[in-house]
Amino acid sequence: MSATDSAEGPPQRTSRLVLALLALLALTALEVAVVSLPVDRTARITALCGLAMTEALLVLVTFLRIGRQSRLVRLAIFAPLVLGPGFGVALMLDAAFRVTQR
Amino acid sequence: MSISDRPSPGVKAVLSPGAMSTSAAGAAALDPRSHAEAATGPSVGQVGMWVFLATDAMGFAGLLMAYAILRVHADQWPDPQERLAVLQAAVMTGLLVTSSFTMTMTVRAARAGRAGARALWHATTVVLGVAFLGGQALEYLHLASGPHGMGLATDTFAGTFYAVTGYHGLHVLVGLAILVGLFVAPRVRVRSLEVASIFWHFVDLAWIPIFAFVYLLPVS
Repeated sequence: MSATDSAEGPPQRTSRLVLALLALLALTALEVAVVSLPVDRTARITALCGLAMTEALLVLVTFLRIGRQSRLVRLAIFAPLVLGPGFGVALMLDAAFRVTQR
Repeated sequence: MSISDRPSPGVKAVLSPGAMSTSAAGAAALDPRSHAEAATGPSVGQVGMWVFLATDAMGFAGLLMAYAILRVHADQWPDPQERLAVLQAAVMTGLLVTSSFTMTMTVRAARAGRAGARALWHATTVVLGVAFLGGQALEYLHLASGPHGMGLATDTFAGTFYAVTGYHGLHVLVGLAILVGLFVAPRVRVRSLEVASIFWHFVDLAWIPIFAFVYLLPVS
């Protein structure tokens, strides 16, 4: 288990790191562009969540090299990442239910 | 990660008395022990950092959850894009993401024993981190003195905004203090840089949902 360029694995190629950086910058720009699109709010939120999750996954895989970590560490990192949005969705559904019951 | 009475070679390397000593000779030089350590398994510091980050991630998740609950149950929620400088925040995101890249290059250079390149990438990471914090300070200043006069207690939006971004900003500040400490240290071990890089990447990772949900999430 290590941070970047894990001791257990070969070092990443610089070109791959640069590509990841460019992808992250492009995803950030896309996020800004998506929210100002003249489309349905739900579609914008879905796209925004998808872009943000892709960005987070890219950081986890490329910079933190999560694939090379032990199963326990992966679980410890993914649990809040999965539970967070899960609770968020549950709260939104709850809010929508309450609004319809008023 | 398996639990064993026998520490891994990497853990042994850190626990050994020789590994704990430091030398003041050779400013910003790489510790010669670094190469031997780099070829071994996880260090105590790395394991400790992952455990800390697992709990810290819960802290961020809790804050974002509180933000979501308050936002969902609020009768009115201002459009973040009207109050906040979204483009500036996007540039700050770019700075933080780039600093993760430079931090990775710092560790790579240190592992390869290239002290000069390591110092250059390390300094770039610190500069990018300072630029991010500077951007955040400017943003706070602008918000507090702007037309809305957004203070901590102005409304729920303002309170949650300052709490979430301030909590993250403190992490950036701590990360910068660690990076500067390592930069000015007479000798730097690869292990120390690796542990610092885990924290720095986590700071970058934590900002991604903050930027998406606090700055960009559109209101109905």
